[in-house]
Amino acid sequence: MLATVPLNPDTHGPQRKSSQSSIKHDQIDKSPVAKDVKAEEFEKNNLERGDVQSNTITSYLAQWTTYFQTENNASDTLLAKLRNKAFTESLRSCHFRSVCWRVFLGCLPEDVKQWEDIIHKSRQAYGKIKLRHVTNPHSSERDVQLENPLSQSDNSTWLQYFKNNELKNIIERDVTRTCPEMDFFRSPAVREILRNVLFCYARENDSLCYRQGMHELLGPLVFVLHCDLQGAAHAREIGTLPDIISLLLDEDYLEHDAYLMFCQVMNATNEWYSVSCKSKVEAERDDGDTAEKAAIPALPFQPVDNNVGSAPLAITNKLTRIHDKLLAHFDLELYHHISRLEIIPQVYGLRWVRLLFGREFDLQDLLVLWDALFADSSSLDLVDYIFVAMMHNIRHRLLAADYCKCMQLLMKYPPIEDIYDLVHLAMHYRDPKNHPMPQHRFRAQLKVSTVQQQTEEKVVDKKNKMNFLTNIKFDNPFDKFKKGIASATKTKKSNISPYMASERKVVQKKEDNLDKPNKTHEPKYSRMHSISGSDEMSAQHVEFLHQKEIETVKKQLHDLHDKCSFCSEKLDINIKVLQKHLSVKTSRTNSTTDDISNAEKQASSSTITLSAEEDTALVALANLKQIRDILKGVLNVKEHAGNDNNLQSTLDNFPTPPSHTPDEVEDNKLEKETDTSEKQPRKESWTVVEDLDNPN
Amino acid sequence: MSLKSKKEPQPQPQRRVFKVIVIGDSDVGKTCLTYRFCSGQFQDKTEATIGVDFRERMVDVDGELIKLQLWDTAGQERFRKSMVPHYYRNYSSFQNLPAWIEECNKYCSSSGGIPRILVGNKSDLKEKSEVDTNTAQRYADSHCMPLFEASAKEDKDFANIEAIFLTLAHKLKCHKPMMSGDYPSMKRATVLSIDKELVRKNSDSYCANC
Repeated sequence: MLATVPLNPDTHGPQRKSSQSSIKHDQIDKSPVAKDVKAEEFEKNNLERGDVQSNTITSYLAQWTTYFQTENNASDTLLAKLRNKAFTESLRSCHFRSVCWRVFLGCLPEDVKQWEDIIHKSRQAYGKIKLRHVTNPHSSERDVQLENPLSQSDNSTWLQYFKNNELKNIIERDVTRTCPEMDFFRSPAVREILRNVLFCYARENDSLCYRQGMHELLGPLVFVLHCDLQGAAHAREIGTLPDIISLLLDEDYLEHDAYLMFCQVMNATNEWYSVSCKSKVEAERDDGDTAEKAAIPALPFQPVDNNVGSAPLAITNKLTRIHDKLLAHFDLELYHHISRLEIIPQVYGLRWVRLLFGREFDLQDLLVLWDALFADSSSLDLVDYIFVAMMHNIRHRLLAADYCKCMQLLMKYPPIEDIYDLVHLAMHYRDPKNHPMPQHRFRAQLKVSTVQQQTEEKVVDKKNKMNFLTNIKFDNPFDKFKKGIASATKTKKSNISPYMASERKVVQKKEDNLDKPNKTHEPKYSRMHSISGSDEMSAQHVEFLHQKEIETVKKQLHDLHDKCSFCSEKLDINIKVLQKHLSVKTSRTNSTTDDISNAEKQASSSTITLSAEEDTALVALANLKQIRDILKGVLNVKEHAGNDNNLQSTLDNFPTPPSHTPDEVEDNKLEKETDTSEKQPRKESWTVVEDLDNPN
Repeated sequence: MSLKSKKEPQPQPQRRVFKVIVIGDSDVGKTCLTYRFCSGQFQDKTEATIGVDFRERMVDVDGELIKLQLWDTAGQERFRKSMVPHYYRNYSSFQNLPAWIEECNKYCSSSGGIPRILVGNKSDLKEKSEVDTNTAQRYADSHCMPLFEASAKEDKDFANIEAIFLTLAHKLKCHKPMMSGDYPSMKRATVLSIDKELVRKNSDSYCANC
């Protein structure tokens, strides 16, 4: 089949062009009908929408400038700039994603001026490679004596021809099964490209040859190139493109460019495909026996054969290292769980790593993931951390699952909420200094920790009341608050600004409460810090992390303080209203507004003379005042320990007073919910966990 | 792996887990076969299996509920990396059977006792069949394997697919545990392989008894 392919792209330009345009036709014809090509449509629409909205070529060119024009000619600016863009999520709407990837992967140098030269060279090189390997013995005019079809000599063209056919068969089987749900990959022209590139790569790398899975690394590369080509074609219709863009995005050379990108990706991944633990030279001479043995640990039913003598494969080593080192490092609990179930990482991880997670996410998400993966480093070191982030992402479900459920989760990774979240978590794992822990992940952890809190706190914490109020009013800052506190270490308490003396105690109390639930996660974090000697995380990183956390906590406390002031003011106003109302009702006049400051005394004195109902109302009022004062910071909770019993019992048995104003109702609610406020957040978290546990 | 089900905390009625491993050449229909058995559906668009896949289904064998774990392997995963340089004939998946059986024997210490079944898949493509039933039957007999011809595609053939795995489950159940050194749990296997059109499949099964 390959023999019919035009050997020289230059002479066969028009032919190839027509085959390219057939891709477009395919898409236009099919995509509106096919319902299972959402991803592809999405990309297409994305492209088109962008173009229609801008409606001019200027925006297209402006994007080019933003991405690829370096201001001060500093040598590392381009890569750094593109990296930054990839990490800040903007490649999804970039018309030059493939170009960015080529820079990341080292297909293009950082100096844009050299691109033209490099592109020509690399395309020529591929042309030669293709010419070399696509040999047809029928057409060759050679000596039949030497080139006998029955000859088994290694140099025989015929032998090579038969070998090639076998190889093509193997490749063909997988090419026809590449992303079968996408029309794009069903197009004959695209399949031809995949076939050619894979074949050439296999022939160029005899020792590795073609291994299943490579086709799915190539697929997205071709897809991204194709999308950019479409964007360029569209732009070309409405304006003129600069030469460099036309050169970069040239339909005739899609295959050439794809080959180079694929080679670069394979440079990083080839050892994960290798089934030989020996050096390449040795492997070539090897009869395959050792390789087969070595390949075995990758299999699920493998019982003991690790000790057959041959060293484990690179992929096995890698996966074991990720599992034993990284996972254990970042999530010890999960590591123990998976290990206890005896699920070896090869079973699920082989596919994750070999395909660079291609099967675990839909294509759009995958491209975002690859943006970060390629941008991070061309050796794709981020893979390990993405791996751990993926495990961590479904940790609650895994921890609650038995062997079978775990296997199902890992073999068929559940749909992910937000791919950026995962990417950022991986980035954080890799480089905590420059990438803070994604926000809501932290919160999720804390929710679960709260669940694990078993003891019932009897002490009425005024802060809880406040939190509850703010919970209702201010978009749930409770979690944020908890997060800040929990991430602070004990030493940070001393750093808390002294302006909130009373606040501090309350906060400390709160922290103590939180410490308990956090115990389960303690090993993880303490491990994370203690391992600072390792290359992943230096002591400086940890120190930096601490500093950042302290700042966050300080900020949280500021906020909290503001909220407290706000609440106390509000409370004060309402108390006055309430008091006025009560004083009108009461025949006695000894509860005047002058006495507000001494609520306690007032309450006790009135007990003697007032009727029971009035008495209760006044005591309640007095308690409200206390709360206000605590919120204000002029009254300390500890100082009131003696009165606490009194206060608490009052709060517990507080009768529902008649409601007069909405604000008052709120105050009452505040009171009533005081003793349930401990329970309620917990209840909330339970449901969260239940949801996680029972996704169905 | 075979130890695992032993260590797992089992629910009160000790439910046994039989592991079946499906092996054979690439693109012969291993995934479709197991998918059909476990879900009842035919998967029209399958992707090449990378590494291994995992499916399971409960089956009733003589009144005992047994969990069948199907391990669906990748055709290329551990098979003759050197095939391309060494062979220049277009080997069919049937002709590759000896290699699969050898492979199976190599890694199953008690392979003599491991039940195997040979499956010829894609029987709906009868006219394109490269291997006639007699040849296949002779081969299966010589290796003491029952032969099944089935099509994962044809709905009417579903009973046939079930029969394959139920037979296997039955064989596993009747199989005497092989006491082997460190592994008191029994290990058994069944092999499958396949041909391009008439597909032969070797299923390779382990059973961990608990």
